[in-house]
Amino acid sequence: MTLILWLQAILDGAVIGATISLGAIGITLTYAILRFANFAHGEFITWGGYAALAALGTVAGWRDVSAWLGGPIAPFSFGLPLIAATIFAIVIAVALALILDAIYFSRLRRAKIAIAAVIGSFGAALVLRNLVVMGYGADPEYFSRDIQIAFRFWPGLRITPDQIALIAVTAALVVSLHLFLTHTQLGRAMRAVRENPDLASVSGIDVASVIRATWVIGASLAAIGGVLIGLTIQLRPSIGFDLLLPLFSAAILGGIGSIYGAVLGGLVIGITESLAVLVIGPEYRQAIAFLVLFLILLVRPQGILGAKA
Amino acid sequence: MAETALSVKDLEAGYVPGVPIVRGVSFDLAAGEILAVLGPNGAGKSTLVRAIAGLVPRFAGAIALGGASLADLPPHKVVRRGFAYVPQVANVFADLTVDENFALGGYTLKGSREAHLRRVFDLFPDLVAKRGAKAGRLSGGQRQMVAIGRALMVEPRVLALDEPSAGLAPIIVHQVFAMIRAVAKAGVAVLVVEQNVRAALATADRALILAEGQERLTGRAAEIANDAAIARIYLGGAPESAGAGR
Repeated sequence: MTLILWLQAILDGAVIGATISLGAIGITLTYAILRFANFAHGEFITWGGYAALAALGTVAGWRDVSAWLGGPIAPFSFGLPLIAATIFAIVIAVALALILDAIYFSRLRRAKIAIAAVIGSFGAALVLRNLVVMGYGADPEYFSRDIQIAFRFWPGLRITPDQIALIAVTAALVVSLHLFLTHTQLGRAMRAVRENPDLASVSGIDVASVIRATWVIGASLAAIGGVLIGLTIQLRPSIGFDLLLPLFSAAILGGIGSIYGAVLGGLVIGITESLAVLVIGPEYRQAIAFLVLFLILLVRPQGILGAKA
Repeated sequence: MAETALSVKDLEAGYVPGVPIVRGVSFDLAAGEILAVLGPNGAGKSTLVRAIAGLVPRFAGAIALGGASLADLPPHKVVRRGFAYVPQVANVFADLTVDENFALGGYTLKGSREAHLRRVFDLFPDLVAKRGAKAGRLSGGQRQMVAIGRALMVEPRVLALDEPSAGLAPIIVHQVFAMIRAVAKAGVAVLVVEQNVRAALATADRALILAEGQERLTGRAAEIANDAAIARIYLGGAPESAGAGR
């Protein structure tokens, strides 16, 4: 087995890991700030991807708008239409998150029964996934059916321009989120509510608005993740659901509450799965990823970057 | 007599509906005055302050700050009216730096926080060197300074402190109470819940003694401090020895 194959597997794993990271950030934020394990978070990914697909289809039907937005921007397979569709996807996913929280999740959270929150949000996930199946069927969908030619670069590794865009977008989002949390009053308020909601409220922070901000950020990142998966792989109604375990694993592995932990966790899971395919075979992919999770948690139960309770 | 900053009338409050912990408490607090709230464990002292801050539901009675009702406002709106509260435990954001704690104390401020920050650092010069340190890494005394400084960022009309002396060395307790006197001298009304009866009575102008959620006595701190009978009945021993048993 050559070194190139290994490096290629690591690179492919990092691409998958980057999308896992975007979803895991939302999970880690909602868990740390709302004390809520949201098993429906994966559906924001699915709904984001399909909302973008719907927007692309609609825009393609409007000839004037479509001509004005133009076609793909070389070397990528996408152009302004997908960027506009992503904005629409974010709006849909954020609206979905805020509505779900207002009518359903907030009640589950107030009940303070952890298992009810888990099963309740899990149920919401099933309903949301089946709504997508009703609308689009279970078959895969693609933003573009054009074949993209991968770049080859030293020492023979391949990566497509869209995959490079995915990694760049993820990195830019993570850095922006970090700056937001450390340098803005709302970001500091989110960290304050995470640590001590009572003290935050007597400091003048409206905890309800911080909770809404958390949903906006989590759902936005998930929607972008869904678009990036649709762009680089394919859309299926089950993408969010299938990612649920990797998302939670990444958040826990990195240390719940830590943004960089979620990113690191996502990369570890993505790369481990990719290497497992190379070494043992695709059927053991998830088992190996979870073996790694198990081993790391044995040594550091609080996660790689997590603080001790 | 200075103007009334805070007025509480027949307040009943508690966590569970139908089970009041504070059972009909009334007092007025003037600008620049220090009122100590004393009483045995479980008397409802902390619940009283938390109810004014909006953290505990009010069942009956009135709370007014500068004449305007505070009743049933959520905690983040109570702060905006000028009532700043320092809890007893977990009163700083331990994962955040001193600067960030103060920035959050000034969350409701409009415009620049610079002047407010300077004023608070003038009060606590020791903290200037620790601006970038996480509050959780500071000593107990410094942490209490951060907690009080956070509350003072908004220039409150009323500052309420829940057991500011808890867990501190005697010399630090002395500094904290000196600080409280300085804050009151600047015109802030101060409400201080204490187990350290001696330090509280030496600092306060008046004291309110609570037992079983009810007001047992309100009077001048100096007179209560000298009344051995009151000390024995309500405060668990002579003032000189009280506070040592916690």
